[in-house]
Amino acid sequence: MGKILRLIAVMSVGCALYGCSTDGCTDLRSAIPKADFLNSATAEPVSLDSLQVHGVGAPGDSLILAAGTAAQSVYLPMRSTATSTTWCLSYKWKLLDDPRLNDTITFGYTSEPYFASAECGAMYRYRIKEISYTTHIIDSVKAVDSLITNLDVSQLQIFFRVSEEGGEQ
Amino acid sequence: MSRRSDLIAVLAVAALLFVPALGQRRVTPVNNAATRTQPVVDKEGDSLRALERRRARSTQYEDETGKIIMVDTVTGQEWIDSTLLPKAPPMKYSLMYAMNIGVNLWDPVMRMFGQHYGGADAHVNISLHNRYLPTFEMGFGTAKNTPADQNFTYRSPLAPYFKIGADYNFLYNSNPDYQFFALARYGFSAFKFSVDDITLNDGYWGETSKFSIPSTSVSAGWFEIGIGLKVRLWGPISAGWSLKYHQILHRSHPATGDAWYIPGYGTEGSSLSGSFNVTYTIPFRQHSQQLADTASIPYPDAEGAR
Repeated sequence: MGKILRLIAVMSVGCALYGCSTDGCTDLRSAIPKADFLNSATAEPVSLDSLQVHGVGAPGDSLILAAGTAAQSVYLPMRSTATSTTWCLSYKWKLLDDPRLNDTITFGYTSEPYFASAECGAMYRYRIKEISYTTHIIDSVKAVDSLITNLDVSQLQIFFRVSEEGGEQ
Repeated sequence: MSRRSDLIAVLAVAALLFVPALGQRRVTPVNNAATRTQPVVDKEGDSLRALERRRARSTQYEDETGKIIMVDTVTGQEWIDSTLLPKAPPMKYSLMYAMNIGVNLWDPVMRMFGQHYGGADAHVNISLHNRYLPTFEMGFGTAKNTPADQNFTYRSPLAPYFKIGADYNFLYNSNPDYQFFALARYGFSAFKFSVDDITLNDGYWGETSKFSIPSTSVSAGWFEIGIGLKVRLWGPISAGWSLKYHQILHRSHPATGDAWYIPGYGTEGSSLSGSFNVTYTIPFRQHSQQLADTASIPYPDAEGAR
């Protein structure tokens, strides 16, 4: 009996030391809102291949989404040191490639310190207070939830006026 | 109108409930010829004689499971003689058998191997028949962790925790030097935690921000189930392991995020934990020695330790 119990003891310790936790961050490591592109007429997802997005004031106006890549959504990182962030959307289709038709979206928010987990780390979450935008090609912008978290789900919706042929107006 | 109908309905329900109760009080004991002539109490001798008569007119065979089936040769009915069924073994050890006091060395050992949290705890339990061991545990836990690939330092100052539950020893009628048991516990802790030195480097905007999450008071409760074993080393000293599955039942959810470490429970992501206990057994001599003698099973009493 003693030998059997000793064997069980060894197996128990081995199991306890091996793989007993769920390591790894399954969400995002920072609170970045994911914005879906939707057709304003049908509310269906739309894929845009000539849309360019950059943050206003970002170093070198670096692009967050470059034209030439079909995209149905985009991640829009907020500025943690500011209370608002503005995004510029420019359209690179032949008839729309005019800076005067560019759209801007501005989010006003408050930042809330948040500890997500040991794996995902600490970050700011953002409570959206205000959304303002131009409406050249954009029809409207909605926040699914006013609290932007590190969950990898769609938290913003950008509705575009889209033509029948699949391109924008 | 509706009030009157409600009142009538309530009175009707009350009458339905109350009238049968009144009726029961009026029942008088039946005393007629049948009750006077029929035996009301079946004496033990009568039952035994009837059983012997039935046994005498029956044959028997053993089914595939080894059970003995009796066959009444008069009626052809199969029946089972309950007096032949194996009886549950009696308890070999007394109700108040022993008291165990122990310490859990799991966390101190694991901290030596680099674990960033933990503490120590002690437990006391009473061995009832060497079978049931109601247990109380108390300990302290703390944490300080700065993960190498992370942007923060997590701190949880020393805080107490409590657990209450019981062990069930499967080897209750065997040598008490060896115990193989299942355990169940409910644990609770109220504690504080803070997250300091948080650094955010925003690659897109080219900005860095530093902040902290101040100390937050929280609490948590959880349950544990598991198995374990305990082996007597020498005299009254035993050592043993247990492996536990645990799950949080309730906890605080502060706006700044949940605690990573819960004293007594461990870290949030782990569902298994272990313990390594060293235990001192105090026998209740006048009861246990007498029964141990009759059972001819050695008992780890104080004399054996010398």
